[in-house]
Amino acid sequence: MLFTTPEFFIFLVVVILLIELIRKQLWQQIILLLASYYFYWCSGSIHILLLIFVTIASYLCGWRVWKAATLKRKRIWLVIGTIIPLAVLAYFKYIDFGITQINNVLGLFNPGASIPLLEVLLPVGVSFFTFQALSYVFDIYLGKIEHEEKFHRYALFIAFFPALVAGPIVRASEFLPQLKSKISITGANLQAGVTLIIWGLFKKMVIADNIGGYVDTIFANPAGFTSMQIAAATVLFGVQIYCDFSGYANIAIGVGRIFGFKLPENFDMPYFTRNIQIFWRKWHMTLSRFIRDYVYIPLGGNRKGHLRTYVNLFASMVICGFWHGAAWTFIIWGAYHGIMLLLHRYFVGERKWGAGVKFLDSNPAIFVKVLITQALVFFGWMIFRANSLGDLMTCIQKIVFFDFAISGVMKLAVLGCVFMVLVCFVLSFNKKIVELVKKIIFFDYMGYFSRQKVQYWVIYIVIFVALILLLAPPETPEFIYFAF
Amino acid sequence: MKIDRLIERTTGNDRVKKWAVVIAIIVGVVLAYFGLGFYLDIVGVNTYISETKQVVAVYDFYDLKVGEEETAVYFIGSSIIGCGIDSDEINHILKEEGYDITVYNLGIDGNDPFEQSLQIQNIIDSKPALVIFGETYNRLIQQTWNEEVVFLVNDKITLRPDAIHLYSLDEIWTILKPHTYLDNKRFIESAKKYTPKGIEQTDSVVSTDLYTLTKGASWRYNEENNPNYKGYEGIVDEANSGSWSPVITDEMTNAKEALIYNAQTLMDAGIPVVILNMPLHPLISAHVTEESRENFFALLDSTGALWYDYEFACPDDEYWYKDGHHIAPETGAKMFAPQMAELIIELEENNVIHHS
Repeated sequence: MLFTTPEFFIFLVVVILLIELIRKQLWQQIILLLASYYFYWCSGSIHILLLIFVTIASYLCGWRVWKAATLKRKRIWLVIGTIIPLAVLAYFKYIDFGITQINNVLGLFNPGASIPLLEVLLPVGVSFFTFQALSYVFDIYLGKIEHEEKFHRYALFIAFFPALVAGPIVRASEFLPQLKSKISITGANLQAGVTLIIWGLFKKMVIADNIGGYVDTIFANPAGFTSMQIAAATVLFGVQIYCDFSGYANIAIGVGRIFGFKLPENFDMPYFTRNIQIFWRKWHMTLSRFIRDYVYIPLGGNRKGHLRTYVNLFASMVICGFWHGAAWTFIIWGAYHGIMLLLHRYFVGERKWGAGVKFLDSNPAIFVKVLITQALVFFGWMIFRANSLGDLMTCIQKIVFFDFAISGVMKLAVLGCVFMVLVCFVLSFNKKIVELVKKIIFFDYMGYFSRQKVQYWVIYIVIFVALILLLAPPETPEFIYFAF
Repeated sequence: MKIDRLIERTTGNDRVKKWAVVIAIIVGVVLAYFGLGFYLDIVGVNTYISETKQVVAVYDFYDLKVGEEETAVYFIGSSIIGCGIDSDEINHILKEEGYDITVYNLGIDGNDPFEQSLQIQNIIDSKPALVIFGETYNRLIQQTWNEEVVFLVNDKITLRPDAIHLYSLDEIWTILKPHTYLDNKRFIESAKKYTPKGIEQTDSVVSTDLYTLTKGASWRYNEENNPNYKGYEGIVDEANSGSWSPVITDEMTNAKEALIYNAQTLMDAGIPVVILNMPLHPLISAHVTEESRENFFALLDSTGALWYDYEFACPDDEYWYKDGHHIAPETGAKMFAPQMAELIIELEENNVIHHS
């Protein structure tokens, strides 16, 4: 059941009405839980058994960690509680990738030999709910939370339908305390939630879905297109993935908000960041913090010397890339960002390049830093989006050995972009203009529309719903992150 | 400062009531929905659809129920009927021979028996005296649903209970789900570029050639200018493409099942049915295997309807064919018209045509 279909909105209205009518806390939570399971069944049918299995297994392991009398026992149950969700994730997501790599190696020694692929169907949201289950067990072990005595609340935390299939990755410490009080749907939360939902639908259906066709065409056969077209498709993919994923997050957070739940933000203007370190604090924030807290820090973080810090950074980013999918392009993308973080840490963090140079903190310099950072990020998107290693090599060749074959319309577009960049650079010398632009870009629009008086808020709804109805393509593709 | 004041004036809803928010949502969505409909009207999407979409014109035609006033013969099929039947010429011949019968060209591009099954109730209700299906070998392979065709005439389709077995659940949902004007927004860009031709169909004036009518009054097949005109080399390529050999196996497909259903349902409703194996260019015919022909004729036998084989009716002549399986509308259809008129006269003399 996609967020962008009428069926989902009918489902949502029914759930809201039921929650409103039933005022008992226990029954409200059970209705939400059953609704979440129904939502997942519509998305993945038989895989609901997997969701239930992971829920029960992680709950029991968390309980055992909590109850364990000795540190040794805690660790044993922590390991079990880690292995089970990871084993589920590994099997359903990576088993065929692993078999393919084994077959590639076997093929070197014995050309005819190969292990047949299992062709396992990837359960929707498996990367997300397994990570949530992991975080629960970890946080109990680390003493950050107590074991949740009511199983249905824990089950609801794992299965909560807005965040179930594509995040945000919610921590138990963020969500479970919110279940201690009755669900009350207030006018303010309803308005805030609907504002976010409409904005998310706009980003997904109007921007991301309309771009997707062009991007898919180019990346399906990069050899058949010019360097400029590949560059354009890469930029558009960067916009598409941001609008698709952040749009989904907006809808998820908006739906949660309607019920009075605060889900963590996943994006914070990542394409305006001035270096790669800040980028990763603003892009897919819930995954970044998960990797930081449960991979990077346990590996030692930055506490074991420079070399080990770099290794930990690199490994964390490779794991982040691998989490996105069972393909070498994702691993290379993760490694690419790992190298960039590493280099940033070395040159800026340790060697303190540019420290003390006042100009580098000026607005024009920051503008240039943003451009360079985003150029590197968008190059990474090309790696991320390529369908295979072969296609990736083709794309890189075409970008590195640019053919400058530009059609009339593209020429105008390129000239226009260059002109805009130059104008922005010149204007960045004016502090007042920069302050005004910052105010416009970083203004809390969602906060404003959420607090608007209803007679003005109607205008927001009319404009954005009309744009969605008019500009959304007839067929709405799935959200990109469903595939992860 | 002005902006701050504007923000201050337009915000402040910490105690907003739920019902006010719900009403705002409903009002906003309704205004957006109807506002979009208004925009579609301004752009002229409805005019564009009614003047260019053959399937819309055909279903509108069925609503006229011409069979109640006259002896109407319907030619139904894909573009092979659309291009191959010159209804004006046939009507002219029939009139000269003293027969009070009116022939209608109801061809729809891409139409196949599977889609034709949606039209059956509408055909029955419009009471024709005879229905002639024009088919050829490649229209009977397993067909997929053309959603656009369905939603364009969604409000006119009657899903007959005895036809449900022909469709999958998804296909049934396509028919049953309510069609809104939002489905028409895909035509906005085309409608903006379209110049309305002012084509009207009234009760008293009905074009017999809906096929060319709905392409716009200025559309005419032109050998030199029409990009679809393939020429002899094009026909050779088509013949060698492999798509005609083998083309009909003895396996049942949804199109075959639908053809049987269509013929039998119309005949059960008292409407005579004739099926024509439409002309093919000799180069194409040469690639059709005997096995395909046998399977095809066995299928036609199983419908219970009268059928006629016109595959070899037209000579290998540059004026007859537009491509390997379409008669040239301007020239070939005119030359084919006497054979069609002769067939109708023969059917009339043999009391096949039903007069109400």
